[in-house]
Amino acid sequence: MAEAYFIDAENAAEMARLVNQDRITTRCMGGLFPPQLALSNVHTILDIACGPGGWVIDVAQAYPDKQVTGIDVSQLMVAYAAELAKIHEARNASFQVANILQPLPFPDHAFDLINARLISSFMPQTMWRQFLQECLRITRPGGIIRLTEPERTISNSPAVEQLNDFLARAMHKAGQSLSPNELQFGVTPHLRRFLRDAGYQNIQVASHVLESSAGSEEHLSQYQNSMVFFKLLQPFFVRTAIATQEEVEVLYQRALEQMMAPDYCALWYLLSAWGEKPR
Amino acid sequence: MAEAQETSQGDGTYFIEAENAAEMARLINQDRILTRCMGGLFPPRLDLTGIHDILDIACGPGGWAMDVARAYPDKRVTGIDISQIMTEFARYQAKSQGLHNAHFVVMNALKPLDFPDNSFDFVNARFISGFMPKQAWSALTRECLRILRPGGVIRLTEFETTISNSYASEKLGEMFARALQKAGQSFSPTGWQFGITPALGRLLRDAGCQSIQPMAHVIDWSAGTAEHLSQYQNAMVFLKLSQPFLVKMGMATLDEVESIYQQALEEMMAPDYCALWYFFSAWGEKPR
Repeated sequence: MAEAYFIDAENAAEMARLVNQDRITTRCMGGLFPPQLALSNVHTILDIACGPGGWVIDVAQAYPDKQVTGIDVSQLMVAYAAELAKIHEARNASFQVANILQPLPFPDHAFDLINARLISSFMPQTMWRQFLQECLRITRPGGIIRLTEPERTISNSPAVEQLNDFLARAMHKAGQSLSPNELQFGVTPHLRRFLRDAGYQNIQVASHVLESSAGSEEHLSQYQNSMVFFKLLQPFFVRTAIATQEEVEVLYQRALEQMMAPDYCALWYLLSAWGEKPR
Repeated sequence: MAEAQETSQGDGTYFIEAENAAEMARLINQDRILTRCMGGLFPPRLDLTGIHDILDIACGPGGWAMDVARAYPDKRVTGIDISQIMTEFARYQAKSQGLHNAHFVVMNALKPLDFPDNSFDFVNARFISGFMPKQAWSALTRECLRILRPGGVIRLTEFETTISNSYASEKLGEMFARALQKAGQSFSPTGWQFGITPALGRLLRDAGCQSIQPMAHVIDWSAGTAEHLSQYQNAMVFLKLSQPFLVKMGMATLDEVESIYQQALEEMMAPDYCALWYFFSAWGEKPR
């Protein structure tokens, strides 16, 4: 994922962005786990592409009796997460560097629950199958996996929409899109089938939405998120020949302005899909 | 989504003829599925004790209104729709089911609503963007606030295009989004999406609502899911009936649209077909 992610993973600004995104994503998902899930048989938990470890540490603190492991390709993120766990005295949280595009460094049946959030940004379309087979291998029979992925933000800002057009097109070019429509990400409709094809059963889905319109609770946090995200994306747009650096920068400045307009409206849809490994 | 504006006005025309039996049959099924995917008739955790008078705008064949009337015999439900055949059907259904607390009236939601101030405790409008010109929204939401009692709740529910792995369905979705933009019914500045759902919260706020809450819903109608066939049938009717709209808006010729339509139907039945339809509710309260 070091090569595939469209932002340099060892970047402090990206880490700061992810710290906030973790927290906001958990809130708009209504909590750490799907409400329908029984947690009494869940003892060991793995968070895939854990970034700076927000979800892992939240789970570790809320459930001191469960062992939570986070893996990420980034040295920086893992070191930060481990430090944060120490400060919070979350002794049941641990972190290690691992590339999830390669075989996962865990024995068979190691986890009762696997969580993976927003990993489509670095997952080549062709790698999903292999990745989920690895997940199935390390899930214990009766254990759970949950995937959560986003679609494109929908807004009323011409510049934000154009930047997201760029992102969708660049992902297409980079082989990370799952939609025949180059303006869509199109990953969320696939999650159920991915899980089914890997061998999971009793699959359920739930939608979430994050509103970042002017006047909404997350307006400023998402403004800051987008400010960092679209800045860090600029090299990706240039590299995939979607636009020149100058074009991207002009659009970026306009997007920042339009996001602060009093009538700015934006929604970000996400989908969670979870399923069980047959006993 | 069951209203039509007089074509003479040239704007706000519902892209399907409202007095159409196939459209009515489609809406009967859609009503039922939408309510299920929204997790029930009302927003979760809404206190229903103070709610006595309920209005459903563009009620179509009356599915939601009758479900409410059946579940809450002590509440009075009124459904309005521009379509004669939909309201007559709803009235007949209510009568035959003994739902004396459900009433249906022909009314155009694009004109001032024929109700006195402070008449309702809950106003519901689901999937009305099909006939709403962009600039008509704020007049309607203000009208809704006028007829709501202080402390009453208004809920708007709208949708974006389906997201799928079918090439032809995506193509039709794209044409549809662009046609709506051309018709002045889209909120998207680039026309790749309908863009109505992000605007709902602001429309409520601008109309004077407070305590506005958002909620996402989704229908998964991939091959192998419970809703696959029902939504396939829905799409079959909807996409057929909206062909004249796509042609009128200059998206393609009828032959081209028909050929993409046939391809889409085929791809929707493929064993690896994946599709999600996101929709969204925002509800808010009229200040006391």
